[in-house]
Amino acid sequence: MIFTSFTFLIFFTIVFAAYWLCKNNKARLYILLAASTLFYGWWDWRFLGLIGLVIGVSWLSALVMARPSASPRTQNMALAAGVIVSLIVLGIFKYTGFFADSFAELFSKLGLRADMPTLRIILPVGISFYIFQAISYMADVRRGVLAAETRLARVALYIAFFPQLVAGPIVRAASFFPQMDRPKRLSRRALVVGLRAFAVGFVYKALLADNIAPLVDGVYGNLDAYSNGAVILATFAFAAQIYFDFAGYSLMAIGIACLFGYHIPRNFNFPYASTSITDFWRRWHMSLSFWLRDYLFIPLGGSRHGKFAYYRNLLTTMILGGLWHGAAWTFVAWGLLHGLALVVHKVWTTYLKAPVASLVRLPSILGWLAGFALTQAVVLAGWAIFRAGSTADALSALGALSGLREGGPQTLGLMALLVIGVLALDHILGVRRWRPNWRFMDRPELWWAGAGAAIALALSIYPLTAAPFVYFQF
Amino acid sequence: MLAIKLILAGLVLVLAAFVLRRPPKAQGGGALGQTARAFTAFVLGLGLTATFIGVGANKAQIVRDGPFAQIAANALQTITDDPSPYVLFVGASYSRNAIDDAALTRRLKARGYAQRVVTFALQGASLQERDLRLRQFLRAAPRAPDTVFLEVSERFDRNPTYGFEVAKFSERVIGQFDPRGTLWTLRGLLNGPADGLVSFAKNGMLLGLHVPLNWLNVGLFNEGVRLQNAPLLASYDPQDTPRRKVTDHDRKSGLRQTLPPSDHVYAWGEDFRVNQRAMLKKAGVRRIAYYFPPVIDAHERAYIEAVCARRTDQVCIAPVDPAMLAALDGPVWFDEEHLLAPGAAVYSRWLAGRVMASGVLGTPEAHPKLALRMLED
Repeated sequence: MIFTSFTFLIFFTIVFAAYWLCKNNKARLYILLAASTLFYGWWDWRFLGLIGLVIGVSWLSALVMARPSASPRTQNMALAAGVIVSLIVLGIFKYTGFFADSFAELFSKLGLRADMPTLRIILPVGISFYIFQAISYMADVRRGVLAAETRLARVALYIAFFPQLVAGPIVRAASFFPQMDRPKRLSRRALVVGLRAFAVGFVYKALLADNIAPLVDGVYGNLDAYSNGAVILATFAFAAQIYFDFAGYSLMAIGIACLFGYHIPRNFNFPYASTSITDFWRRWHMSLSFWLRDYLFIPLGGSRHGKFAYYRNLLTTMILGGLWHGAAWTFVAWGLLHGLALVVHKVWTTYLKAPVASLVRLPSILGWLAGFALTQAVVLAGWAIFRAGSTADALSALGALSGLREGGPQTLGLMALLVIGVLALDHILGVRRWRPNWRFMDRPELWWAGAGAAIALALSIYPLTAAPFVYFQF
Repeated sequence: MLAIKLILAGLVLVLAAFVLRRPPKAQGGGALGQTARAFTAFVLGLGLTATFIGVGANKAQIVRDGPFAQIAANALQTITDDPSPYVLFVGASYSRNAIDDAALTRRLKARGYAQRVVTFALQGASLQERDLRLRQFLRAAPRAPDTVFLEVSERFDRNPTYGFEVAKFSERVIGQFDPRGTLWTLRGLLNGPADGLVSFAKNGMLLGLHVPLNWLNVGLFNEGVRLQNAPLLASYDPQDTPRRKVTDHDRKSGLRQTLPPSDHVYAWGEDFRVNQRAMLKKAGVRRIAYYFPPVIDAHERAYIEAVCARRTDQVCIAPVDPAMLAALDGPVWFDEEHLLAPGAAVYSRWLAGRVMASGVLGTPEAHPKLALRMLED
């Protein structure tokens, strides 16, 4: 059930009506839980057992940790058991085939014959996201940030809350649980904020990302046939597609949650306006960045054990973050590229920036421009690797970006530049927080007529067959 | 098309940025008056924009993409490449599997006729869908067809809401409900052979949902394409292997059975044909004729005979020739209603003879271009 589909709109209308018609807060929780179960089961009901297992393990693990008699050692073991079970589930369903194939390839390169079982396991949608939420819950209980929840239904709703179940944003348990108890009221403000977030997300996903996708797919499906210029343009288009797709999904999730009285943190903050790679990761998929920082980078030692360990931890975090995105070497390479870029940026800001600045005095705009251009170049190279279907395709795309390959005869029309224009427009309007304030439109009749016109325009480019979100595959 | 989509999406973003603030407070008038004014303004904004988009798309010949649009594009390409006068055979799957337009053209040319035959048919195409695609084709075509042969079948005459059986809420079905398609579906629902009250209510409700989707151009630009730029798809779709086994007994008994023409012809279908005839004449089509490919069921053949019997002044070719049916008494059936390629060859040969014999194409010498060519030869 895709957020932009008719089916979802009907589903949402029914759940929304039932939720607000019901006056009991506890009953509302069960309505949301039932809706979340239906929502997830709609994809494949067989995986309800899997998410149920993850919920059950998290709930039990936290209960064991919260027992008054539990020693720190017991608590650590309960946490480790819960995390390991969750990671095993993730490993089996997401990485078995990848590792089996990789080992088989490695052995064959070494001249050894390896009869690895080739497993093709269906990837349960959203598994990476709900596993991370489950780990967040257990870790927060262990840290004492959050009390263990005795009621299974509440843990289930936290992990399976349908607006953000399949592709985030990853919500912290400490921020979600208190919201369940808060009395809910459908205020005019919540309605406006929720609908606004949903509408903007809808435009991003259905009208922009889905329309850009065929352009990207055409080029990346047959890289050798296209000129280097076309591949560069298609990579820009992919940067736009993945942003509109994922930011659109996140905004819709935030909007839907808001309409049920829940607050979900924002996930994107105009990432292509970043002037450093560190800045980029504070703006792109923020809930994942912060999750990786708090539950991986810091437990690995963070920056506490010297510079070398700091850079190593940074690289490890980004490589694992890359692998989290997908079971393929291209994702590992993408993570490695971003990890290296982060290390280089840290070295620059720590050791080089001040001495260079004292030697060469440049206007600040030039420094800004250089930072912006370098960041976007790294991000773009990263997207080329990310989008490529294989290592060979990734090398071909990077060859096109660097001009090192010859390129094919096919080109893209100049109209494709419009994609960059729309992305730039979105970021300029967004960063400057531009809201048109046309006086003549202050008449309510014109406001309503504008709303009607916007809906008519949007419907004409609405895709009747909703395309799945890019991040669903992760 | 990408440019149009992106420009529209940009416009939506800008409008959304404005609209997604709170609506300004209305001043003056009671609450009811304010609501009425707001509602009217909203409907006007929605309606005028939708109408503007619809008219613009129509002018620019942007149509919903799909197999039928691709078949139309292929037909356009064919008649652009070959400046001969042409004959269109417009129908559904019966025709798509049965009429080998290339073979028919060869036969006509061999007998001195200048016309090229173009099959224009798709599986499950209701009368309204065929009519819509035909109108789109005629608008885009550099010249009108010399003759249009329209498929007549009991199945489509009986069911004015056939589209809902094919794919509800799809681009294909939404596209059918332009004003003319809506009017004829409504007439079919009200005067046609509805299958009981439940079916009437269900189809009425579906019509009520599809019409606004068409009027609001839902998805038009997402899957839309200029007819001339659509990918090309040949209409004739020869089949090699049967979809369903037709037993010897069923085939023989069905093909050998002769029934008198049905005593009943659906009035809705007849009215539709009269109206369509006027539309085609207005579009510059010189001659209009009717036909139906062979099927095993004798009742269906009898229905066409009844339709043809009412058309003494028009050419109407019913598949009731015992010799032709006997030639089809073999493993030439895709299923009970559609032919395999060898069956299509038999039927196309027979059809060519009937078309020529009917005189609907005129005499070979009647075409100035042919006469000129003969002189040159």
